[in-house]
Amino acid sequence: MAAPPSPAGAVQLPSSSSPALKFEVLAQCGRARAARMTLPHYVCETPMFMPVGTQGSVKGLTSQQLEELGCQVVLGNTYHLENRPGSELVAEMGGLHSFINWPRGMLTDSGGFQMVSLLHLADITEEGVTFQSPTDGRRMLLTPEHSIQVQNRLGADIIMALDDVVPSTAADDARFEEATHRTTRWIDRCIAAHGRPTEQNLFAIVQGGLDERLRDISLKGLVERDTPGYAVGGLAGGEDKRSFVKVVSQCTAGLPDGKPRYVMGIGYPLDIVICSALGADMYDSVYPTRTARFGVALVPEGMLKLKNAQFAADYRPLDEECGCMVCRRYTRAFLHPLAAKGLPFATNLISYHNIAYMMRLSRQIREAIKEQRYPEFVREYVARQFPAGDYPEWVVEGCRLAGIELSSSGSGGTAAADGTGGSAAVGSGGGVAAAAAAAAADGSRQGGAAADGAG
Amino acid sequence: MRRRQRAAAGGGGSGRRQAVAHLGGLAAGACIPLITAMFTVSYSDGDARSGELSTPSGAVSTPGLLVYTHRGGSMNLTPDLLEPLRAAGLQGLQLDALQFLNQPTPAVVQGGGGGRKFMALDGPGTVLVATGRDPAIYEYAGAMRQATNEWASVTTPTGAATVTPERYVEAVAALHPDVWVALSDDIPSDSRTDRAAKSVDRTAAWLAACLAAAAQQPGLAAAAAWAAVQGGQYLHERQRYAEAVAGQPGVSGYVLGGLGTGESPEQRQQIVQAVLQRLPAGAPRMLSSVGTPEEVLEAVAQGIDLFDTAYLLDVTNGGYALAFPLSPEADQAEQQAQQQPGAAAGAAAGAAAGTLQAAAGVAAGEAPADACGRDDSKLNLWALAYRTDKRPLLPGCTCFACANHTRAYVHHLLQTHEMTAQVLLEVHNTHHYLQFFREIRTAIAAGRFAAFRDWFLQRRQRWLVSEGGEQ
Repeated sequence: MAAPPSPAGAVQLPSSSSPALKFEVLAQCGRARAARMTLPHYVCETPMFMPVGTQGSVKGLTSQQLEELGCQVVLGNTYHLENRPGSELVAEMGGLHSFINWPRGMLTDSGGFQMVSLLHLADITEEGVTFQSPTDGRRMLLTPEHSIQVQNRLGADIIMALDDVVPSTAADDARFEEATHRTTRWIDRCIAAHGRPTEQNLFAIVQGGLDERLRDISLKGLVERDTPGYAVGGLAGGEDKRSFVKVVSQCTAGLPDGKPRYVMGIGYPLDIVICSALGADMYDSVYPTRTARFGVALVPEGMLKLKNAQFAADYRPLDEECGCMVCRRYTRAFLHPLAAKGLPFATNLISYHNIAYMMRLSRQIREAIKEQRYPEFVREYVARQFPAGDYPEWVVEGCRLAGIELSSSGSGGTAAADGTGGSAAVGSGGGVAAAAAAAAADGSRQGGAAADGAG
Repeated sequence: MRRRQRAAAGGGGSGRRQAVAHLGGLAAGACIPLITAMFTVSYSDGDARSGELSTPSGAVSTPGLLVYTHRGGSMNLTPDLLEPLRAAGLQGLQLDALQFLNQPTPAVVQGGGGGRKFMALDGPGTVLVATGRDPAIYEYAGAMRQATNEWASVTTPTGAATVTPERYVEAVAALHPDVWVALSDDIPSDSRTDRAAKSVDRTAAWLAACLAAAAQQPGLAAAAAWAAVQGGQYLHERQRYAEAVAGQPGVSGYVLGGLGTGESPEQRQQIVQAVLQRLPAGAPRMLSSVGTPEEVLEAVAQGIDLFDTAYLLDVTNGGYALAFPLSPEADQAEQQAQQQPGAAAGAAAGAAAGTLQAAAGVAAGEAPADACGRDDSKLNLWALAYRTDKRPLLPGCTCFACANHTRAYVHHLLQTHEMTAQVLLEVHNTHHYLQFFREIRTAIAAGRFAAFRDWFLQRRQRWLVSEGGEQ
């Protein structure tokens, strides 16, 4: 448990050591912290974004490209992998790392999220969840024991407890109450079922919807169990963003300082910046790659909707500050017609860039924290996304909770309603943008396949 | 019969055929000041020949494969995956100029520094050949809207369009290609004789118009212009055009167009033969949109030098990995390994007693399952036979996919509709096919192309015979 003294020599920085995980906070800046997390397969630096390879690949990219891009941990999804190809087969192939040839860290989600994404195919009881397979209709009973057993076979560095997840937009207080307590009951079953505690780290997941009281109950129950790390679940499901930052703030404050904190399903760059300010360490989402397949590139100003005709003769790289392979070689003008058609070549390139962007953002966050200038970083980041100073209320609120004052650089920093996070589309101007948005919405419907729905 | 001919520019060729199609020689007095694409035949073996097309951007060894591109990119491969294929023999890319008439327009491409830079194909050693046909789709736009003497009716990614020679050359010039093929009135091989005659007349007129337009394009100053030979299935029309264009100033190479459109292999062979007889022997000849291994071998035997084809696209999209042996020696080794599975597997598994038998049992049990998932030239990675197959797509292959991933992984990616499946398959298939072309060149240089071709064709028959014989 002993942490090395901080550079100042005065403060003992938090740390923890579990049989298969060592977490050492390297620097703190307000509530934000940068840490080193040693996993069986990789030594990671947090805060970090983890791309999602739902079914064993981050769509369109190779494992080797993810390595080049500096990814530290890749997600896999228990429910989908158990369906196809099956965890026994993966075990026979030497585990998930070997099956997909990924040498660094891996994390598998428990299948809990599919209670949201595949709710129409799920039947939830105290014993577990019965899913009907979206591909062939077979039924699978996912109990806490089964989920852990499957994850033991997949062999990821971090495995997640099966939690009872309720869509955060549900208006059913009784269901949230039930799910909160059930999640705590299930963590004991998960811990008891965990067969590889010296090789894999079981993270508990805080539930409780948007209710402060329930979150508190969940936090208390789970912290008592002393798992190697913790996740905040049940968010990023379309809830209003003010509630979202409040819950994140409450949970990061209630979780042990010396252990990793993972906010599940977070992938909008701005969300990551704010959550990191609140002391979170890990994030995952399909957003960067999914939005790439809709022709959207992530940039410091927000995003570029490349289908928009305004890029037809724009010879700048996607992001002038990005040195990735795509930005070094290609222009927006080149990618525009290809993205508009959704060609795999183009979507692979944009996915590549978007992951590069997320990796760079994570690195910048870590550096700013280590250099004790995270508040400045946040202020600059937000100002760039909202050059008019019209900061969304939730951003202001999130920063306030993190102790960061947002100087309202523009006029009245009043509240554009809840933004979707980084929605400052560089590419949205006038009527053309409406068409592009319509095209993007069209893409969303096509892309909303269940198999895609990790988060 | 083998002879080695080393042709030097302007060297002592007598008569109209020179081994080097050096335009400067043919186009004496023409207004083209700078000709840089040069073709040299180094080896002949029967009618097959091997040589090199050199251009300002690099050289393509012939017989060679121009790798298919769609709107400036490969189908699935980011440049970090495409460029290492140079080691396997990637030298040239085919671009369909009709994909650059709009979205992007020639002006946009030009504004981005020209196609080479715009499409990031400006690395050293990449030869770009711009043609007027997409090998992957033959949508005969003329069926909907007949071409006129002024314009061709074509299919572009944004729909049907008409294109004049001038507009076509504008699109070509923006691409900054090393070689470009003039616009032709491309008709399917079942067109009627009067349509074929019209096609020949128009193609001749459009060639002249294209050359005139190209002379005004600085971007094409260093590019070689090639003519597409049309004429449908009618040998006399094909010959008429071939004769007309054979000595045309400003033309340094030829493309056999309008093929792969429903003609029989025998018909195609006759057409190729009739045309090649009338073209300068020293000029490069390309066969467009035809390109399975057998078709390539047949055409090479007749003296074709370059191919563009969507074969790899079809194979990749079907979930197949090319797996045919590249030489008779490799074939023999493979057969021996199949006949004595125990020996091979046992050697790998170690010499412990019992292991040998177990390994042999596994191998024997594996053979029929494996057979379900493959034919003699490719693996069908969709097949359940590969669910737990830890081998690379093709053992011994050095491509990125084979060096890093297993059949089981590719099978899983296909089953789950993951896009990375096509990425890995396209890498492997392109790598393998480029190696196949390299073997063809080696065989010609060694004067054993006929044997190589016979081996390959008989190999396919052997498969059918042995399967039938056993059951």
